[in-house]
Amino acid sequence: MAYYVGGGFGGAVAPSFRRAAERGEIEVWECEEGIVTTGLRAGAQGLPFLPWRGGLGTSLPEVNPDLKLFTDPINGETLIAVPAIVPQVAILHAAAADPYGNVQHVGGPGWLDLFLQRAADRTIVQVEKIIPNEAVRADPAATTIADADAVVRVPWGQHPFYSRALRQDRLHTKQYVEAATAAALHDQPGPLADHLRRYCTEPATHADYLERIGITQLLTLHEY
Amino acid sequence: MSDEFDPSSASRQEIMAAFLASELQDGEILQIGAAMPVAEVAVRLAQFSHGPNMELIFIGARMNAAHLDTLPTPEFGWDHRVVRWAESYADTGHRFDRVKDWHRRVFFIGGVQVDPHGNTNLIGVGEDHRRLRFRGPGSVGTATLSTLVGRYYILLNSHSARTFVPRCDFVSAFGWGDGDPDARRKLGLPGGGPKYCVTPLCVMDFTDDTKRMRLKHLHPGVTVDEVRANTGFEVVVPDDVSSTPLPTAEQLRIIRERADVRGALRR
Repeated sequence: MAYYVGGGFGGAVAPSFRRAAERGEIEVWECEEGIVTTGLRAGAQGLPFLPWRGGLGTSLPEVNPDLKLFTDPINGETLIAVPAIVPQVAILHAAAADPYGNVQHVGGPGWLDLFLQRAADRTIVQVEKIIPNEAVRADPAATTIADADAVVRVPWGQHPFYSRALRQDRLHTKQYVEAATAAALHDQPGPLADHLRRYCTEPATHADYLERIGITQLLTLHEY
Repeated sequence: MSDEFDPSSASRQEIMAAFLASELQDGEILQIGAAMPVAEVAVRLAQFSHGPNMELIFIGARMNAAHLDTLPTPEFGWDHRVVRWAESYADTGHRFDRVKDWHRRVFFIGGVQVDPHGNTNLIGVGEDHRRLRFRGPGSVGTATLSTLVGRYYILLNSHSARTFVPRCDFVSAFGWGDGDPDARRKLGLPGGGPKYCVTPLCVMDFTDDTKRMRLKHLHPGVTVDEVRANTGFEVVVPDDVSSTPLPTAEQLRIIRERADVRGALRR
């Protein structure tokens, strides 16, 4: 499912995605941010679809036949029916949760998290810290997800990306983009294989992963 | 004013930014997406020079920045160097909770392909969507924004026949369709559509009757032939093509001292 694959990495188009899509190795469900949001809403509400206007006149309904044009029975307008999107599992990162699955995002509702959680069959939330149930009861209005299926304590679990409290590790994402670009566009798979081995396959634990990033680099992500 | 800000020293991109800034009216709400360096500078210049009541929205970070000496360019959605000045932040998804007043917004849109009627393509290049020759970044939020915003500007970092094509392989944001001035109304699109297309060579508007790109301004030193040679379709060339106005020395000072401190538009 793709409405945008790029900028977060620091490149115009994420290189490995680009290569896989161009070679037909993955199937792309072409959409758009408003359309994704609408599909997740329909999923959360148990509806077969919800209407959306953004994308009328574009190629989106042609390249994604799941998006269907229909006539609105109220005003007779042509709109796009966006089918329900129901993820089997949503995996999120938030600030804190208690052991009962009460999750509290800090500083806003947390990206697309609530849309994903509401639509998904199951949700796993990794959090910076586990807090006691008393702390949740002290501020119940701050609970953003009341029924996560699992919570896992994973400090720095957003790395290399950003969360409310931590900045993106731009050194790391830049290194990745360079390695992935070499592999995808210049037929030099070595640096990407090294990167994946060092940061994805070799670390036995999350702590091992963080050791490889290094405390000096991690601390720079707390700059504000 | 010193020679440092001599209007003739303006780069092409600074000229583009100053032109766009002059288009923006005080009080408007300006929405800026990712990877649009000229738009980033244009909205800052507008706010600093004549738009104390403008609201700027960078991805989701909404602010009035008129009182700031400068404001960096965000490198990703939640870039603290920019978000620290925001008065609100609309998260992904939540941004679409209230779109009914987006006619009040002005937007800037790019494209890997642009056709004569201002339809744009960020999906990719190729005949078969499953095997694209070039996979683009995707529609982002442009299909919805282009549908709803009061007006938008097509803004490109390069001007070539590879980008300006007779027909986009795919359309991710609907401009004027096949050129019917009523096309947007017939489709039920409430927004005003693309106003100008701004490139490193020129500014183009759209003819009234067929909504076809028409040369409006040439940047200094650019010829009609150069535009024709680098555009993959026939551009309407009227008799009265004027030169794009140069930034004033004061505009250049604001660009270089406040809006674009790192000189992104001078590289």
